[in-house]
Amino acid sequence: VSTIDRTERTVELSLEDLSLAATLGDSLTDGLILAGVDGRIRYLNPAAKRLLGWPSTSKEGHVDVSAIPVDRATIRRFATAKRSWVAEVTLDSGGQATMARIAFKPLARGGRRVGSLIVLVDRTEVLAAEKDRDLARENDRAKTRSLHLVAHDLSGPLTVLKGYVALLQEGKLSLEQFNGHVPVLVAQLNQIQRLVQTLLDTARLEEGRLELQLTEFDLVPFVNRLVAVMALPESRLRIVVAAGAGELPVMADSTRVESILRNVITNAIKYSPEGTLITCTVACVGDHAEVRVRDEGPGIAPADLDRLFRRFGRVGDVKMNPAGVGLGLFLSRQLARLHGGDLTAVSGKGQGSTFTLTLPICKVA
Amino acid sequence: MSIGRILVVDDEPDLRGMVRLILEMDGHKVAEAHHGRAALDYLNANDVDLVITDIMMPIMGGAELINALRASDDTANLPIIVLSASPHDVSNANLVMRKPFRPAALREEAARMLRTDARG
Repeated sequence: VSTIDRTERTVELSLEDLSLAATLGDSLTDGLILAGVDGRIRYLNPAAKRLLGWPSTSKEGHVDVSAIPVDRATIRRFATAKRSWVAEVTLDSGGQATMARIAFKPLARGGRRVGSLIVLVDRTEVLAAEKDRDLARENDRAKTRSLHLVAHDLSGPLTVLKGYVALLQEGKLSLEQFNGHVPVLVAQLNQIQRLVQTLLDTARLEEGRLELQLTEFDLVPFVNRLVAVMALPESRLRIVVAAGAGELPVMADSTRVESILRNVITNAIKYSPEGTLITCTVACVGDHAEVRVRDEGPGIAPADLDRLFRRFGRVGDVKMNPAGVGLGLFLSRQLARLHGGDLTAVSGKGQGSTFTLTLPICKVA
Repeated sequence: MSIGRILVVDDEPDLRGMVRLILEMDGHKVAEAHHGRAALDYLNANDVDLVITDIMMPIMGGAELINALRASDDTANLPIIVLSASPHDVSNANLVMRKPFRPAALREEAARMLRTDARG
């Protein structure tokens, strides 16, 4: 064994090898390392020093390949590999993790091993660019999905409107009968208007130029009025004005607050069984006014709860935001936050859901 | 004209109301459900001759409802019309109608389904 060892040691990287590597290496942006059969580094270029986090003054010939700041398995492969290999690794470049690709090639001359060539490619930027591309692609897909949802949500009220008008045209409804349905048609037009408003607000929000129209109003009668116009079956909705609330003056955009609450209440109605109660509580909590909407529906799993407020998020592929193009809760939360408040949800499978809107209270002079 | 018992499944009450109005013009008996789960509950206790359903609904959508109906011996051959704005991946309905639809077309198709009711 010792004889063979001695023979192998006598075969080494030649001066030509090293000067060629140096000529190339100094101008390369990828790291280049030449090591002898003993594992000692004979040459490394500036890019390699940078990638390894070694000082540019570090001297070749004194460092072993095992000092390369990479996992142990890779270090072992430097010593044992008989063939070329490529691996994706994380380099600890002076305390900073660098994603890199390592290409290893044993060098031989006349059938004898003379050393190895190691190339290091910095993958940080490539991987970051790939991640950006993935995000952009996902965003694109989400926008396409939202287009489908917009079309779907608009088609409901349009179907009702076109249906009644067709019945009138076909003479199936007299003008008098048709007039009896006008409130339904107005409700459909309002729904279309709300959908368009949601789209406009979402676009404005994205451009950072959504402006609130603030006025001072009392939240208690406001919520009462809203619930009345939403024409819920009395048996299903209960309004609780918590003790001590009395007057709840807020400085807010009433149209936007209505849209937030309408969204939340509509969801509660749609997602809870008929005959169960929806409790709307208006209260003063600290320096905030709070409107809580609690339903006795199937509840929302924790994982879905998180998705709920994302743009275009509909839980479990079902229709989540009747007036919202899958934008409803996303926009509602953003609107609440623009007011200096918030919209949050608490739920669990089988426990019903509670959505809470908070708004800062106006200081009474 | 065959008169039938029809279950209308849609999460929008105003849309259900209009479909009911259209179908009742021909004398059909109409029941309503606001999602697939409610429809299955109704069908457990009642016989119907035709189901007209939306696809995107909360709790249980139309595709899942149709699969459940097709999987049960009692309702495997029940005529089903899908009324949807985006009727994707609905292969096992008897007919797919796109929203918005013409009321006259819905009346004709409902009548045709009831005449050719496969259950005999």
